Amino acid sequence: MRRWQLIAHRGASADATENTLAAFTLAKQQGADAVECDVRLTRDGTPVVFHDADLVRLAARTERIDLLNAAEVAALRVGDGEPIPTLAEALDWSRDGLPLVIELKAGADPTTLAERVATVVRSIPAAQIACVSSFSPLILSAIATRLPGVPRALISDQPTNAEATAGAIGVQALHLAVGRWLGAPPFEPTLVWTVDDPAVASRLLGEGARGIFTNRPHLLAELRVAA
Amino acid sequence: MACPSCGAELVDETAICQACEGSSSANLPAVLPPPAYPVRVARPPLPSLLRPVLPIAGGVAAVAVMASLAVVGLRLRPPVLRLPRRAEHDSDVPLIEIDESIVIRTRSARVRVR
Repeated sequence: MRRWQLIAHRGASADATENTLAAFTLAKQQGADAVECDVRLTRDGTPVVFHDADLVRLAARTERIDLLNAAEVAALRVGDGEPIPTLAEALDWSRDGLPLVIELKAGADPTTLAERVATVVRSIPAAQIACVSSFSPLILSAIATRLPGVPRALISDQPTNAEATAGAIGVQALHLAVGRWLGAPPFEPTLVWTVDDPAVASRLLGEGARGIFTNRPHLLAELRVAA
Repeated sequence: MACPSCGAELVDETAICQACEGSSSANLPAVLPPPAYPVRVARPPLPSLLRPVLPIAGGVAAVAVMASLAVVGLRLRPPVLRLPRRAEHDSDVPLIEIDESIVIRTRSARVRVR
């Protein structure tokens, strides 16, 4: 079996609160190669690591994250009392942790989002970044000019136009939804999200996937041992 | 309805679970098609300006090719001298029985009578 990337989806999110430094550390302990995290802007333009547009699911509150200031977000607790990290804190963790797959969520102005993220990335030179990813070609294009040395990946759940879009914006990888996998990678390399079943992961890798995003890195790490 | 993979509440039963985005959710019944499933690779679409032009250009090219072939064919075909099959006895023209296989040589051209 070829070398493949085992990426912890929001950290080891099945066993720890997603997108927290605790989940990232656990992912490293469970054998992941990299950690995927989601980034949004607060109202005052600070990139923070958070998936949802609002706090309902993770903090049982109704506010939108982009309507809170960075100080208000820092005071929040999710899951078992974990803080919501800023992108700067996540990048700082990566220096002795694992490379980050930084997914930029759509919603903010692409230029503003790219500019804010690039500023933070440049401020932490020893950070490990596997790539910057997004569903939005506009965001990826905006990042390309600001972080030219950082690989970019298009996220897609549409295999029929993924190849053309990825080629048009010149990304280095495609991150494809597992439900849209058609038996072969539409782009090279294609990494698939999100798979927690080792049997499914094994088949995807056999059909040409170059990486798997998982909530349970320890289960898929066993595939590597078995191979 | 709760996601059978991670237990999170599903806002939309047909959508990917926001919590796990997982492959084993019951709301993703067609996660993996059979291995022999045909792969369709999308081709980049033609620029919109080219779409109406291409059929016209193709037609013009086809007409040009046919015209060229016709001219070449005319040039390659030998000239044909058409003579009456039978001349009148009282004319100055000698009576000649012309068979389709007869070839007449003249000073200017080699002609075939038919």
